[in-house]
Amino acid sequence: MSHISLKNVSITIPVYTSDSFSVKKKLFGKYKTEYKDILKNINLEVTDGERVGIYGHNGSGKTSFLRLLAGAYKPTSGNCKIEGRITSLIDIGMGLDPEASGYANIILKLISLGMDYKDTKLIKSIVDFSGLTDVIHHPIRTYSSGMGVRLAFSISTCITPEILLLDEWLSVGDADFIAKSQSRMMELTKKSPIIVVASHDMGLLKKICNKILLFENGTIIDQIYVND
Amino acid sequence: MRLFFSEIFKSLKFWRFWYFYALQDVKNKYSRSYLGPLWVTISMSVTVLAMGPLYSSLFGNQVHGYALYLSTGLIFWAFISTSISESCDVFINSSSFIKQTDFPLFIYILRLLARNVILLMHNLVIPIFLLLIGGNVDFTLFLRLITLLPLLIFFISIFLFFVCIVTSIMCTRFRDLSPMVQSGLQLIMFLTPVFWGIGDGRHSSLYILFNPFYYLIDSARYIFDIPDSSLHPRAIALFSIVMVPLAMLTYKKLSSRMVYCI
Repeated sequence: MSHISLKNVSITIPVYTSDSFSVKKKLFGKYKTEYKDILKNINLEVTDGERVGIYGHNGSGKTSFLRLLAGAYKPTSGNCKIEGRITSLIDIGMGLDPEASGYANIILKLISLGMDYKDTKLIKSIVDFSGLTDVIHHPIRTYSSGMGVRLAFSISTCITPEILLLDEWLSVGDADFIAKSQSRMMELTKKSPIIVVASHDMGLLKKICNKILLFENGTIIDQIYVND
Repeated sequence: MRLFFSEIFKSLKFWRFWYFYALQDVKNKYSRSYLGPLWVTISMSVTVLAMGPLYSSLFGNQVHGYALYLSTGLIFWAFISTSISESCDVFINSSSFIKQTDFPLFIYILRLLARNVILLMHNLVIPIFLLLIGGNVDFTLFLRLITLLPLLIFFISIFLFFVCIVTSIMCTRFRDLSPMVQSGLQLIMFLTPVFWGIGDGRHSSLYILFNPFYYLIDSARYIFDIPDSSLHPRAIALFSIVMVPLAMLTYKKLSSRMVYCI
């Protein structure tokens, strides 16, 4: 049973500039760190089976909101309760080591996702899906950028998370792989109890989500319900 | 305080993460060149070979004895100083994790310590080799090496863990601290008996008395059966215990801001 419950959540973050990064200025100067409200009074309940879209302009708080759900940002005030194992695909290159081989990266990434890294069947299915069988033992710095994303995508989506966080819909690789990845994404959104997707593409959000939150200046200004 | 220790506990429980990433870091050093981290061992050996005869004549010691003295000093100092200086940008290098997960911060420090312990083990070949060609390895010394050495490395790592918590958090928050730490380490290297010996009866010198690194390195020398050295379990414990509240304070004050600093 996965559940997200946010009550009056606000986040205020310090804005660090080169001045405030200096210990000399801190000790001897009159510099004061500025603060910025990035999320204001967020109230939200999400339960199993809900697919939430987040729509907004650049800087409206979409990514900050995902980072809050991922646990990277902690609420300054309010209550944030999240049940269920979270997988965040905010930056899918997370934890990839360019010097290591594709295969070694699969193992590392599985470990960081808390998965069984000895499951050879799972690893094989990742390699097969990525279509990189021939180069899987080469260091990934030798991959083209498309190949790197394909590998990262294949690893990150091989598991079925309870809560899936996505920043922008992923369009990766060449036409073939895009088709493959789109169908896997649809599959994932059907299997994961809760998904949260941020995007500026309203058409796309209406296609996958059953609830869309409109963000502006760090607050939810409207909610749209989409009928299946 | 409870949070601090529960974070440490959580980090230790997630050992797979930092252990495998550390192992990969070392493997990467191998993949770039055939000899990998053994290059470090070789360059360290060259240093010992070049400096050993020179310094032993300057200090009026025997070459072999001094080479052993110098190599243990250099190797343990390299372990300590590399760990501390790498801790300065450890969070910046791990930003992709920190920005999208709630993994405890300490796992990144454990990763860097684990990596440096593995590299230290490569370098330990040098003093062990010097011991062997010296020809006076008996059973008690052998026993000392396999029991006390891992124990010492473990306790140095604990000490470094708390030091690195302070340096990593402070250097991420205040970027101009990092060069200060680097040059501070260089200064400490000359103030610590890495190259020079202190001999008998001068233990009361202030440079030695309040220098935690002296106690760490001298204990290592004792394990390699170098004259005039001794184990300092109480001093190491004391300095580690002093670091704990400092680490806790830095953690409490600044850890929640780390994600906004990177």
